[in-house]
Order: sequence, then structure tokens, then C-alpha cells
Amino acid sequence: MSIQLQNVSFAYPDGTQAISNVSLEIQDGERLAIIGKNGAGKTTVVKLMNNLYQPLSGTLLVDDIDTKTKTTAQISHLVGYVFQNPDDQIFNKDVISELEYMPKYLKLDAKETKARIDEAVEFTGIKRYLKRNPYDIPYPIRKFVTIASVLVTKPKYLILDEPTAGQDRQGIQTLEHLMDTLQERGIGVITITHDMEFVANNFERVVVMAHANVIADASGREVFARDDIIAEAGIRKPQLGELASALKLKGDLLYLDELVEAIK
Amino acid sequence: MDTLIQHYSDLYNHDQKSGNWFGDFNPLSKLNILLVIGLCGFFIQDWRFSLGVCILEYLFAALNGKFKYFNSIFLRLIFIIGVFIILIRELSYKVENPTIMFNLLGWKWTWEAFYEGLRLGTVILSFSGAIILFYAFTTMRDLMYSLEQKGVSHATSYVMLASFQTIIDLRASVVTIMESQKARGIETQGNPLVRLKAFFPIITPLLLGALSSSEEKFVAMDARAFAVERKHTFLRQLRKVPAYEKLAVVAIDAAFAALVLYKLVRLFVH
Amino acid sequence: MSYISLKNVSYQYPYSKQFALQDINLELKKGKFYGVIGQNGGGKTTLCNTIRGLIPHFYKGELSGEVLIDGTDVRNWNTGELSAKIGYVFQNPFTQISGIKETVFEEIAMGLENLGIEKNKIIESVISVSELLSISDLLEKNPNQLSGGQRQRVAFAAIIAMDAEMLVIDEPTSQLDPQGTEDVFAIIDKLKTSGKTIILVEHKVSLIARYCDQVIVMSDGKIALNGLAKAVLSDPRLEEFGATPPEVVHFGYAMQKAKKPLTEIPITVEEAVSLVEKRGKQS
Repeated sequence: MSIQLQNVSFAYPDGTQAISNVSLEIQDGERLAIIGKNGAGKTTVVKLMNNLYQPLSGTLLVDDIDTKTKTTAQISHLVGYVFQNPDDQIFNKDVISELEYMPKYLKLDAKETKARIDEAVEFTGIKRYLKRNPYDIPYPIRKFVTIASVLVTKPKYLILDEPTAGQDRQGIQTLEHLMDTLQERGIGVITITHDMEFVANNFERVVVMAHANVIADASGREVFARDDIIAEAGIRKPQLGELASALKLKGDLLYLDELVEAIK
Repeated sequence: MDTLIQHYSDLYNHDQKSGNWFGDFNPLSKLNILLVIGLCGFFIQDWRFSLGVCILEYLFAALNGKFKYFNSIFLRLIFIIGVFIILIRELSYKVENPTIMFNLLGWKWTWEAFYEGLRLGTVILSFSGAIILFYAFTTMRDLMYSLEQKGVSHATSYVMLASFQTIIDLRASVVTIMESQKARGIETQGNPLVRLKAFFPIITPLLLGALSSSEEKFVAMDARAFAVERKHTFLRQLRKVPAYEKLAVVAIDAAFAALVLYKLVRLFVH
Repeated sequence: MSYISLKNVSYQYPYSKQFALQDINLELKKGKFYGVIGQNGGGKTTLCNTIRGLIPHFYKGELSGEVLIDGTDVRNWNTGELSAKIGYVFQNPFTQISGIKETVFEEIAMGLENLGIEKNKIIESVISVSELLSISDLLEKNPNQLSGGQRQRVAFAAIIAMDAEMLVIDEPTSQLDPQGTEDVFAIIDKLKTSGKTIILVEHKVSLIARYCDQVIVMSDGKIALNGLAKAVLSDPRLEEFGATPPEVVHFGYAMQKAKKPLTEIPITVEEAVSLVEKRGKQS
């Protein structure tokens, strides 16, 4: 099972070409980071996966279902999408009602509802906020509330849009742990991020986008070793990668141990 | 850089020109003239008059290159306000010995109720048309400038204009919020019940968002020296009101005053 | 003399039992660039609000202790004059656009109009600041139709144009990509060189390390660490306070552990390179 983009193109109504001829396949249980400049087409790609947008040409299959034949809500049960701004998603008076909303909407029984909520709460570490008004808790925690509210729908793939923005050390750790657990359960995680250290430390597969195209799709090690790609995409290396190149060590060193090892 | 400076100092050291004779009127003159025209219908209370005003408004917009803007909003209003009011009137207006238009859906549709709806509908539409024309020919920044030059405080004029802007912003937010609720699985397409169910998840973040951002907005505008008690600079230079414009305003106001007076007198005489 | 001075300052937001700030003592010197890091909810933004004078003028609550801004108690400052003296840029780019101006040019000019700056000076300032932030091509655009990243730059430009003596900047790069973020830091650095006092809240520690003179770590409403960037960012307790050190700091400690110690713990890549090279020459 997988998400497949086959020669997908998309343009906005004003004519801006957002995605041109992109092909990409994401297996379930796979973990993928999408990186690139603002305006490179990252958010458009994930909105296509979630069926918020439909390809103008090409085909997008989610578990062999052509998204053009379904509504967004139908596809979202397979592909959950956590928006960049949690305030666009939250609408209940306390966190627990926010989490109960989708299970109720889907008419799940009480036992199943509770099981899903308990799990989502544990994964996101928001237990102590359940009774609170979502608007009174700090922004980065609110982000975890929206992640939990999407997790309760049990998607097979989860899209996170800039989950690291504004997160402190603890938030990043919660996020890393969450992604590990999801992967163990066979849930694919697709993350858009500007945080290169986060990418290097957590993703085996990195997709680099620039000017409406995928310009690289490889491991973090390969991507960050390619100075031409880094320049074209307007990204930068993680700090240790920068250090390795500045020391003129072998080009693809990226991690602490190997760096310490390489220095005599 | 020097050419940019040249460009902007040319732009801001001369009167702002909109390229249209009515557009160049002072915002307050435009507001005055159009308000008066819009309000006449309320005093005359005749659908033929108000319909006439609506048609003139259409013509005025078309002759001055604002047909598309005017038409797109006005057509919607005709459907929302016009049709709705006539329907409500048909369902609620009762007279003795009514003239039946036709029988439909087990209801007697009467001419009396229809004219009653038409009267109210055209009055409201002619007023709305005047307001739409005002927006078509006036930028908010110029309205703000002219209010301040008349001595309205900076904060007051800002709040007024920002509230209009908030309504426009809300429309943009609705799109984002709708997308984000669809993305988590809330159905927004389909039968009316399904759509109704999606209403709450869309409207709540919208309102809460507007409320919580008003505090931030205050902080942001305070940072832009809104509270400074100094004489402000006005970057845009508005045209000095010419005599014919003043004359037009006075003439229209006088005619309106006469109309109101006439109606009042008749009210007491009867 | 200190430009900003906080003595035993504590603060509670209205209806809150918790202290958002507790017993803060802090001196900020003119012309220095201060970075503020630490856990979320630890008091970073509240500290900004206090230095900017929004506490107690806008946020009521309980403020105790003494806050001096350029020698005058914050309570005695006229709020309008304070806004001309200390600029403030914060995270959310959407609320920082006024919404009432139809071009980016006039949006940036708005603060200057309010300050009563002479028209031709306004025009010069707006153009030079928009060149500084590489947004000259946006000047004729409608600010309400820009992307988040573009709005963040416009909001920043609008404050820089006002030429305040001090700038309080709270996570200005949240919507920006790596290149955009680097650009903003470079601009802040340039402002510092022109004599401005700057206090910046940011999670991106590698950039804090490169540009800031001093770093303040906030945790649970208190100042956990405060000192030269080098000392604070290489402090082994940093993670306890919810802040992540730059990766080269980990590298420095890992080298120690591997019995290949550098003479000191680096906080920037440049520093790490020179320390490693120095070590190579010695051995």
C-alpha cells in the first residue's frame, strides 16, 4: 500500500504553477521529510495527497484509490493532515472535547473512542491539558492537540506541516518519540520542515523541492552531501554537516560519532 | 534607488488622482452624496422610485468603469435581499380581499404581498447600491485621511476601517479553516444536513481567531506609534475640494432636506 | 549606565495565580545584542512585554519590583513615546499587518506618518529599509495578499523604518525558510552595528550563537542563566532549562569524551574549525 503521485501537476486559480510533473511514491510506514524554500511547492504537494487539491493532470493514488473519485473528508481517513496553524483547526471549549469530536462524528462506540483518545493523548504528551481551554495553552502545545485530534481518526499516513516551528527541546523530543511510535505501527509520516538538524536526525528519506519540482529524493546523507542541490533549493546543511565540510572531511559526514571518529 | 525615490516623491507630493471625476471627489463628499441618494427611498416608499434609483446606480457604475465590481456584489444582493424579502412578505402579509397571483405549494400568492415585498426590497437595494458605489469609488486609506483631517481621532478612524478590513480578512480565514477541517475528515460537501454539521467547526475557530487576534492587533498597532501624541504626517495628498464639488454636495443635501421636511409636514397635517 | 534595568521584578497576569516572571534582575546595556532562549511557557514573551512597557500599561496584572527604561520608571513613561523609543516585532505575521493600507509602501510608511516625520524623509526611509530587507519588488503589492513569510518581512521593515533606539524581537523567523532566517539575522546584526540595542527571542540557537553578545535563558519565569553567549551556550546545564545547545557544543563535549579534547567548547562552526585546526597543529 502506498501514496503514488504519477506525473502530477497543479496550478492555482490565478495561474501560478505550484507543482509541475511530480512523481513520488510513499510506502505505508515510511518516514519522509519534504524540504525546500518558501514557495517551492511543499504544502501544495501534501494538500494534493490529502485531496484538498486535485491534480490538474496526472494521477494521485492513495492505497490504489484515485483521489479524484473521492471527497477530501473521505481521503482524510487514510491521509491525516495537521495544518501549520493549530488555530485553524481547534474549535471546542476544552481539549478533551476537541479529541472526542471526530470519533463522535464517525459514530465510533464508547470503548473504541476511549481507546483511541487514550492512545493519542499518550503519544502527544498532552495529558495534563485535557480539561483546559485550547486557547489558553501555549501555542506549541496547541500544535500537539491538533496532532492528537487527527490521530484519533487513525489515518494510515500522517502529514505534519512545520511541526518544529516554535517548539522547545521538550517539544522536539515528544515529536521524535511520536514519529518513532507511529512508524512501529506502520503509519507513514510525511513532514514539511525548515529544521535541517531535525531532518538529519530523524529521516531516512528526504525529498527536496525547488521551483515546483522534486529536485532530489534520497537519504539525508546523500542530499546534504550535494552542494549543488543545497544551493539550488536554497536550504543549508545541518550544523555538523557544515562543520565536516569546513574541516574538509569526507563530504557526507553528518553525525556526531563519525565526526569525532574522523578527527585524529 | 534614486529613481524609486523620484517615483514616490512624485506620487506623494501631488494630489492623488483616481482617473475618474467622481473618484476624485473628497471621500466625505462621496459619502454624503451617496448616503442621501440611498436614504431617499426610505422617505418616498415607492418601489418605482427605488427601482429607478437602482437602475441609475447600475448605469452610473457602468458609465464610470465599475460595472463588474458593482454587478458582482449587487446581483448577489438581489438574490439574497430582494427574493428573500418578497418571499417573507408573501408568507406573512395579510390583507382583506387579496388579489391572487397564483396558487402554489398550497399557498395563495397575492399581488398585495408582492408589491409590499417589492417596496421594501427595492428600498433596501437602492440603499445598498449607494454603499457599494461608495466602496467602488473610494479607497479606505483616503477615507481615513479625510476623517482625520476633519478632526476625527486617529484611533477612532483606525478602528472603523480595521473592522471593515476584518470582515474581508474573515473571508480569507474561512477558506483556510474550511480546508483544515476537511483535512481532518469533516465532510463539507453533500446534503444540507452534512453542511450544517460542518458549520460549527468552521465558525468557532473563525470567531475565536478574530477575538484572540484583536489583542495582538492592538499590540502591533501600538508598536507602530498609534498612541504617539504628535502631529501626524499625511503621505497621500488629497485634492483640495473644488467649488463645484462643494456646490453639488450642498444642492443634494438641500434637496434631501426639502424632501424630509415635506414628508414631516404631511405626517402632521394628516 | 544600563539602558534597561529590572530589579526584583515579579509579574502575574490578571486572573493567574502563577508568576509569569519571578524575581528578575537584569541589566541591558546600550548597543548590545541579547538573545533569549529557554522552554516554552518559561517567561520569554512576558519578559519582552515588560521591557517594551506593555506590562503594566496594556497587560494589567500584578507587577512588583522596579523596571527602569533609559533611567525612568516604566510606570512614568508615556505609552506613545515608549512606542517610539522601543520597537516591537513578534511572531504572528498576520496580525502585524495593519489591514488598512493598500500598498506595502504605505504599510511601511504608516508608523512614520504617526511619528510625524517629514514626507520626503518618509519616502527615503521606506525605500532604504525595503532594500535592506529585499522587498523592493513588493512595494506596490497589497499587504493583505502576501504570504506569511513576506508579511513577516514587511512587518519587520515597518518597525525598522521607525528607527527606534531599541528593538524587542520575538521569534521573527517562524515563517521563514533557512535562507530567509539567515537574512533576518544578518539584518539584525547590521542594526546592532549602527548602535541599536536588541533583545531577540529565538529557538534557533546556532544563529543566536553566531550573532548575540549575551544570552539569557528563561525557565519557569526565572532567569536560569545569563552571561556571554559563549559561556551560556556551552553551559552543561542548558538542556535542564529546556534549551538545546548548538550541535557544535555537543561536538565539543564528544571530543572531550573521546579523549581528543579541544582547548575550549565551541559554539559556532567557525570556532569549531579553528579549534580543531589548532589541535591538529599541536599534535
